[in-house]
Amino acid sequence: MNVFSSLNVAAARLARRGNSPAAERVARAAASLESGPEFALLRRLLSELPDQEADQVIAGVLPEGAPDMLAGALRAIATRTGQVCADDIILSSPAEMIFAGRIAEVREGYVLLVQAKGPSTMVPRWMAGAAHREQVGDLLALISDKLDGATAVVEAVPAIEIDDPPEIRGFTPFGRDDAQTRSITADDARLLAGRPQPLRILFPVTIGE
Amino acid sequence: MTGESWRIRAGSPNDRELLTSFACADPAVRWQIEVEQFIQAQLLEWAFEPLAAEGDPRLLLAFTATGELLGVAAHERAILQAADRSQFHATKLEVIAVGLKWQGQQLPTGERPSDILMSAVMTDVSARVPPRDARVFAIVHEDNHRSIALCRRHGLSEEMSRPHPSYRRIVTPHRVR
Repeated sequence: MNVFSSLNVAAARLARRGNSPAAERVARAAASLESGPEFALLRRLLSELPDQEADQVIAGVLPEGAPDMLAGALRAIATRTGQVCADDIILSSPAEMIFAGRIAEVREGYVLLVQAKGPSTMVPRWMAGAAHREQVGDLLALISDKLDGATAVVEAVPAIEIDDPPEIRGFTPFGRDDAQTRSITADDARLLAGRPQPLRILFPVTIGE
Repeated sequence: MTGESWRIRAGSPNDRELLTSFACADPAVRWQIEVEQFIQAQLLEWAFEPLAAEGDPRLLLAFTATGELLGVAAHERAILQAADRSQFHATKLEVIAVGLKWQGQQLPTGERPSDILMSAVMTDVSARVPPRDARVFAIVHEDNHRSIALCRRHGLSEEMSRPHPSYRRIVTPHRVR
């Protein structure tokens, strides 16, 4: 069984948009990930499963009695993939928004997906079902690929809990729309609710275009 | 363009070669390498990615009178969000970096390159149309004492929560309403 990083899909999207440098960079990151120890372990563990169960794992369903090591390998790859995305200015841009959360309600036509820090969204139930995530408590992610100002393709994919502490989780100060960068505390909000003071300009500067 | 010994201009997609050769990091310091790599490999895309244009990203380049790249700065519009969903519009100082040769140096006219770059950022933020909120924040590695001092000199004096244990988030001051 061949297993590829989902970053290849991101690279293909970037190539479709005509952003060759970013597509090549992400494809290289995918190749690097696929040649790493996490993928080697996943391949070995999948090869030990019956074909049908291995297919299920790739589709986001861990079979009953799956070894803990398999869940660990998936988490390790998810963490590494997340780090690559967070470190890449294109993959962390608003055009590549990922909304990941836990299903809080299941209705006839939709499920309610809630992020840990508050925001929520409705997801058509058929989309959640296609990702094998339609029970309360299931983890689901929506990956949006912005096409233009009013259009996006949204893909529902199964999510898993990573739960790395912030000291271990990758962080870059350059991530665009990165939740860690943009989320503020109640104390921050009280500070920012004051009136901003005029900006201080030490030297007169004219900026040429 | 300004100054006898330096000039500032906005970056353009044609500046790739200039940026890929820009060096500002001590190879032994990880957070400095992170900045250099971002400038060399990603800053141009950050600035000119069409789908990110709504954030009004701005890339500024400072040159000596002889055309040598002194330093790089960039900023864009950002929204900070609290858990209660209240939002605050701001400008994120994305990066500011002085070339290795010019770090700790003064120009013949006495200015520090970092002060010129920061003044350019503040001037540019003030001049954007539609106007930005007068609120600028930066995320700085806690060991980057030079940048923290630079931010202080230019008014980024209020400490906010840290987005990561190793990084400080500092913002321009606010007066209690």
